Amino acid sequence: MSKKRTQVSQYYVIAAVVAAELNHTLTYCKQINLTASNAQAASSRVGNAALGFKALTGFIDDLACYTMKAAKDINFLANKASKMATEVARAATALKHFEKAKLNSRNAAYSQTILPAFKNITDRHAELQSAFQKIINKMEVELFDLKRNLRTANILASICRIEACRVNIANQATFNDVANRVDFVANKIRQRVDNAISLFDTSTQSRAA
Amino acid sequence: MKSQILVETPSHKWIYFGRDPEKPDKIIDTNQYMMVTERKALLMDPGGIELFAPMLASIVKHIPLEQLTHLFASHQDPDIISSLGLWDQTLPEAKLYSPWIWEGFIRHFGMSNISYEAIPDEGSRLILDQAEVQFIPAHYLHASGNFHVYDPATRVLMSGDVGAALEDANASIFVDDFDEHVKKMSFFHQRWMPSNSAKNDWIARVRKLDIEYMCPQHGRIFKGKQVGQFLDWFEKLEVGQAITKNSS
Repeated sequence: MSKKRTQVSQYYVIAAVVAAELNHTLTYCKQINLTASNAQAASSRVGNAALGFKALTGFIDDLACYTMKAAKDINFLANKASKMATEVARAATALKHFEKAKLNSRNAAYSQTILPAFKNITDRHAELQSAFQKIINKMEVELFDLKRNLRTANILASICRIEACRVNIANQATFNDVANRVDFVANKIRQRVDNAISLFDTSTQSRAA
Repeated sequence: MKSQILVETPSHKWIYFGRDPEKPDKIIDTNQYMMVTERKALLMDPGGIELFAPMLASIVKHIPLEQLTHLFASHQDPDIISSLGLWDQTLPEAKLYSPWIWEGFIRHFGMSNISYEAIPDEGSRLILDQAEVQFIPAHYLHASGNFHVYDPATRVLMSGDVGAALEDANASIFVDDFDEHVKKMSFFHQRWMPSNSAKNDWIARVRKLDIEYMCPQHGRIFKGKQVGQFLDWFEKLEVGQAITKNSS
């Protein structure tokens, strides 16, 4: 049981750190949104030559919206996990104290009367731990999904650069700048997501150890 | 943890719990009291988290767990009621009687099942089967919302931190030599009790009660004439002034 308690207290921290990492991600998503809006305005100014680019800005915007929603969803799970970790820790503490009381009261006249409460606490602890583990697993899966989808950002940036070649030199810098910003911000987000994922890896390794 | 019956009548009894030999060294020793009636029981100042297991193990030596229906916390301190989160999971149907001003604070210890029965400033009464106890105001002694429990039938006053002394874990549970005991009480009362007027107000109230046992939450129990001796001593004591020079 002590191993499980350590695991929970690690997840306690992980959930809080993941929430913090994804909070940063939300700020980056807003930057992508802004970049997409600017790019759309720029492509309107350029006219027909930038029609392909204009379509791309829609995809950039979609990616930012998806990332923002995914980050919010994972953040919600992280906060839920963090709160639940407190309940799991409480139930584990109650169980620890109950086990001690059960042992110390084995010769007491009414020692059997502890058993129903002991069973309730044991069941509740198991229930909470299982629910907690489900949230943690879901969070991990959603982080990997987000990371996979972020690869689209690099593709979009590359296509932006290709489209930039189709407009006159004066506007190329603007479009290349959009591509660079998408790359830059997507990399920042990926770093945050990787940080979050690595926390789970560390936890798995220490569990295995 | 030691436990012993203090006083017994045909309708109910008072049991003392304390002097736990397994208590971690750095936590203050506490006394717990339980009044047991025919079908119910009231546990007073149940103690801190570290005391939960020994308390639970000791209680079932005297009563079945389901008979413990009521809890009382004289105030909000951790040594009084930080075990609440654990009792909450053990006795979900229980009621906790405590000063109204501490509800929002005490709930921080974790309380989602037990119901909070707020005691108004002027005090109140609780009937358990054939027994009735009174919650006697003891505000500012030491907490700003504070109650003691008086049982007129057995003439027991559970006096919380009033009458407390800092003692060895294996000390007797009763005061034997009052004058000697004063040495162990003076600093505690001067430092922890903030108000002379609150102290005198409480003394005037308690002098009207017929008390055979005065049972503090730390230290030893006063019996018979020692109760009057304590009240006289406490009346003369200037409180709220024991800050040591090097801590200021």
